[in-house]
Amino acid sequence: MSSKNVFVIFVVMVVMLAGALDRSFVVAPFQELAISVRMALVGARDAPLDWLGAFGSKRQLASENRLLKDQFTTLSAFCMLQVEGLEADNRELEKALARRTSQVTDETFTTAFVIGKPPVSPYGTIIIDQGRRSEIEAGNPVLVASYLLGIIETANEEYSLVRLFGEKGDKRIIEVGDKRVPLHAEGLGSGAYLAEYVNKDDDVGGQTAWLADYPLWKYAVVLKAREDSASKYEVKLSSPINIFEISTVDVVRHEDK
Amino acid sequence: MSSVMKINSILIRLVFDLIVITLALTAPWFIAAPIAILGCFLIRDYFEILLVGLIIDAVQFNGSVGPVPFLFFLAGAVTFLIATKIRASILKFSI
Repeated sequence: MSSKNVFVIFVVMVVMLAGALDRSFVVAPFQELAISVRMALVGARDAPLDWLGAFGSKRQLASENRLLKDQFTTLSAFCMLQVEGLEADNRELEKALARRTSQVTDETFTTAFVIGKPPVSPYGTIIIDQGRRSEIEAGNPVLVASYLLGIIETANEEYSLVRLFGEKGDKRIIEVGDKRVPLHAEGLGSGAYLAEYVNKDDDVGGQTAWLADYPLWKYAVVLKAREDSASKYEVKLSSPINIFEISTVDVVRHEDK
Repeated sequence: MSSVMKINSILIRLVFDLIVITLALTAPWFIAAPIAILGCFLIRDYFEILLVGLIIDAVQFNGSVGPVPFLFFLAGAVTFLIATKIRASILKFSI
């Protein structure tokens, strides 16, 4: 027997003995080597494809980018048109609600829900659900449709207290009729004022009245005129708004006096 | 054998080993085994067939083919012994 054959038989015996004692000792290194070789082969096969893929995806990305820019331009124009349309609609609606007139053009309105009325709120006040967070400040006029209701007395963070006009003992100058005749008036409660008119001959019944401090918005209608025994010609002005029927009010945020 | 031829034969043997071992590690056994057996007849003292058999056993059969441990390794050893004998009597060329 040649030495080569002896060597082979010796190697076989060693490997078989090692395998019998611990098979993984013989097997594991070859398995790990196989995994490494396979990974290397897969990497070598995919690398050119990866490069081509990256090249292709960049082109695709560029085309998608162009497409998105076109879409953005189209959508921007569409949104501009939508916004203009909405603004026009808003103007029309504000006119329909008599918020906006030829004199009232620069004001900004905030609509608020009435969340408290007397007797829940103090007498002569109502509470609304908008406050400083909606940029409402003390002194802002409060309207219902085109009629003045009161002013913001206290603006809290999320609610405000509205002081109503026409409470008992409230003294104001009221302008009556198209001529805006100024009268000294005193509140009767529930939004009504009593004033002495200057000219007995004028029939002012049914005419509109404004508060002199807030000339942009109507306040009341002259309900009746009466002539008493002392020859006084008194007119009663009553707000057409019943606070117990209203659910929303409009607050004028930037009054342009 | 001149020195140039010796270097060439070593290079050819190395390339052949690389191919066969790679096939044993990655390809099915019925591709690697015939090439290794062929190598036994073409190359003088092709001890690498033992390594190839062991790799096939380890990688593709986890050490044992059925109840027989290291079957390809043993078959490689037998093939080596037979091929050496045949080469000595019949084949007159070698790498």
